[in-house]
Amino acid sequence: MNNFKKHSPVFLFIFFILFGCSTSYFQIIGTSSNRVEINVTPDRVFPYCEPQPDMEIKDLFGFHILVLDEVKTILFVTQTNVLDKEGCHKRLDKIRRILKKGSNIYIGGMGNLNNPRKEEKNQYTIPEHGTFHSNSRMLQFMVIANEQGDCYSAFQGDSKPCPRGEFPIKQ
Amino acid sequence: MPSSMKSKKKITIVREHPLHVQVSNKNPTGITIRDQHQRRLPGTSLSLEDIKSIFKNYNLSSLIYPNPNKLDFPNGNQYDEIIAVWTDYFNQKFNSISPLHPNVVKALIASESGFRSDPPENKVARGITQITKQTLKTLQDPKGETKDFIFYKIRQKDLLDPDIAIPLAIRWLFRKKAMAKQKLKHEPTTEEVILEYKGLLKSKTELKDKALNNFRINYEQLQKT
Repeated sequence: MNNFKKHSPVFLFIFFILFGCSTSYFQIIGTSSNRVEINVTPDRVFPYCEPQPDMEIKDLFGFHILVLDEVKTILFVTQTNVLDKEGCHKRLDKIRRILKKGSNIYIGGMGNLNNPRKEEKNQYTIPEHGTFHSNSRMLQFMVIANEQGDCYSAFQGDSKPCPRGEFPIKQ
Repeated sequence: MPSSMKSKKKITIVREHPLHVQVSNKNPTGITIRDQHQRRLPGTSLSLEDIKSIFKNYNLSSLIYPNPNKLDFPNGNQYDEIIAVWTDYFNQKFNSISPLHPNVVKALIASESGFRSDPPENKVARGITQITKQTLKTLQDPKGETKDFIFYKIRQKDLLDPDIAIPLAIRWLFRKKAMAKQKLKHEPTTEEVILEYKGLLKSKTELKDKALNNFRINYEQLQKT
């Protein structure tokens, strides 16, 4: 016991290295020919609405989720149809709530991550981690959920069941 | 749009003529005189009923279908026949030099709605092909940019029916192809037509890159035999 007290700062440091640092993760947990499932901690996820100023109809937005992957590059998970302002910000609020309440985030997207990463010149900031280059990969946003059962689907909103349809891959 | 299409007459003038109507105090003889008016020539417009009837009676032999790859969407192949029929219909109607391939339409639908007939989470656009209120209005305007071939009596709620939304989207793609050609001053590529459909051709946003990337992935998968 005396030994532990004497070396407690060392133990604490080791504990921090083992568990403190490993609490942030990005993991691909499932794939099929055109689907990818990711488990990630919320600190690596940053959703936002992107204004579309060049469109003929005013106040249209694109919706993206930036995800910091395991090699610290940015993966885009994007809703590939345009949204109205209210619709985009409504989903942004709901997804922020999912991220705030959860510690393990599930993201389902259409596409694949087979292509090698190519560092792009654009850089994006993930508030808790810093600024990183995008990696030229992308997924079509389909669903995001946390371990509490909060869930949001790109095309069905938060209506239950969620996820449904394409996800989860193994039912 | 080929120049030969532009010169074709789509509207004719009908001269003043007698018209049988219901017998009433106003018209005791059951005949009235109708003033001179315009009438669209057959084959230059489609109503809801026309769309249903054409699809029901379409000759399916020698049709080109989209690749039966579901792209991992549960409903991915559900609309292949509608896509095949209407792509063929409008390719013939517009006699296009570079005809539209049904795989383009299928890949577009994947990115617009994931093959959902009524994605409710978007107020600006409706249905499986995400047609906006403004586009629906344009497609039905006899004096508007699609006046050479219009639809009529289509309501917004009809767009929730893929039988209706898909032919409208394909006709709109032909219009968008012409628009892209005007803007770019060259024959547009398939990807440029898709960007014009999405309203992103001249855009510099992330959405443009990502939406194009997504279309490319789906389209490449469909182009594989």
